[in-house]
Amino acid sequence: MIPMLEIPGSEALRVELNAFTGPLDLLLHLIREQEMDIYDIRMEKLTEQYLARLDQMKEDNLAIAGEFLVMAATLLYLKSRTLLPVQDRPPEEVEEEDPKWELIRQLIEYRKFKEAASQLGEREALHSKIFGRVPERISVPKAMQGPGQVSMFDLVWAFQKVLRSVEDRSRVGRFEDEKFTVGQKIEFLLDRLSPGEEVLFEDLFRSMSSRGEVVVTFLAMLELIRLRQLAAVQDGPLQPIRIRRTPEGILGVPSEMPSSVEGTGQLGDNSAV
Amino acid sequence: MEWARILEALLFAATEPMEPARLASILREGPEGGQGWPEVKEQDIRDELAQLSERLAPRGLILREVAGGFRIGTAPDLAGWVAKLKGVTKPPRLTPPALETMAVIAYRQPISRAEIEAVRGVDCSGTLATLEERGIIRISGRSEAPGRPILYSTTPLFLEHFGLRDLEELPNSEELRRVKLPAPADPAGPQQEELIHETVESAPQS
Repeated sequence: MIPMLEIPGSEALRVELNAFTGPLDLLLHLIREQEMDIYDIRMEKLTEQYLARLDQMKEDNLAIAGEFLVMAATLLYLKSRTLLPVQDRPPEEVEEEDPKWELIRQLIEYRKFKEAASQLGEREALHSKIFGRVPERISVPKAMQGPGQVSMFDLVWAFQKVLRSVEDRSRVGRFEDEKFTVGQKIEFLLDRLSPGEEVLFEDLFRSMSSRGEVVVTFLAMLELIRLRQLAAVQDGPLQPIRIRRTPEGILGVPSEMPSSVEGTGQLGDNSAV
Repeated sequence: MEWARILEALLFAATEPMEPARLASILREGPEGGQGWPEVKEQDIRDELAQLSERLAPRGLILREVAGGFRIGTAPDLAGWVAKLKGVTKPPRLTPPALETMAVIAYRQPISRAEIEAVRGVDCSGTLATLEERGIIRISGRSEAPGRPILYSTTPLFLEHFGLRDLEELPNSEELRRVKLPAPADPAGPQQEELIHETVESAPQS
């Protein structure tokens, strides 16, 4: 799918474009506007109206999200079907139910969640008028921030240090058949650290003698940090980095530990899909 | 009761919702090196909170029950005044697309991005990133479905943002939790066809 509709920067444009959050939203609007019964949609009329809206957007030189075009194709297909007499349909389709039910069902489901969203919006509006106390902000320069703040740079720096020490160690000139996978190393790290446990970053690599193994282990660590199974913590700048297993068991994101989540947020965002 | 004053002070100073059980245990323990109120029970706290709420009603503050606890806040009709204070801001309201994504997650958590997109019919990566960044949703695990997609759930901050006591307080929660979701759109794959077929069968007949 083309994420055109929701790129943050294009938000302003989107609002100007129209108030529709997607093709389903536009369809619901047209159905209401045409005073149609959602269970008895006139495909021809609806398709015509829908395409007219898209044309209008094009005329206004607005980018049309891919999802709108996919829906246009679906509508045209459904419309074309209504024009065919039943006996002229391909034999495999005669028995089947009219595929427009799938669209209708989707619209009905979507409408329920859309209504729920607007109710949530009302609640949000009310509660945004209530101010509670927020934790007092102590302004500390970013670089001076306390536990939990490990930047990607600190981590890479520590990694390079480990890598150098491994290279020194492996100068003996040994060849090894290396078969390390990130999956294996993820298991290794999870075995090594029980929930809530903490070790020094360097200690995790102490037993390793090849560059490949260190790199793969580091990748496994980054993956686990991304999945919030591990967190990198540091007492302050230039202090040793420690790796901590998230205490809340498998895949839990401990909401009561915002500092460590925040500290690794940078990593998570960078490596996210 | 004398400890009612302590309760008020705790609620005033707290920066997050306080559960009655937690308030009760603080009162029982007492301050560092001081005497507590060992006989205070959770129900006493609840009774007192109800009274406190009444006492606050004509004043500029209100007591709300959100996210499983109690919080003191300013009265909503005074928002315009409070907003004039320097440094007092509320997080911006969510956009309509973000609210839609939020609603699907709230009722159907834990849920994958593909499942949310199947309901909304649009790409949701942007809104998911925004909601996660704001701490209203979190990654809560991975699905057993093919590809083991990441699953999203709401956080306590979600309840606070929308002033909800718990997830049960969501409007029409019974119905929306039951509703069968459309299958995630993945054009390839035989499983998919089966799912679509199933959903067609369950559609209402005319």
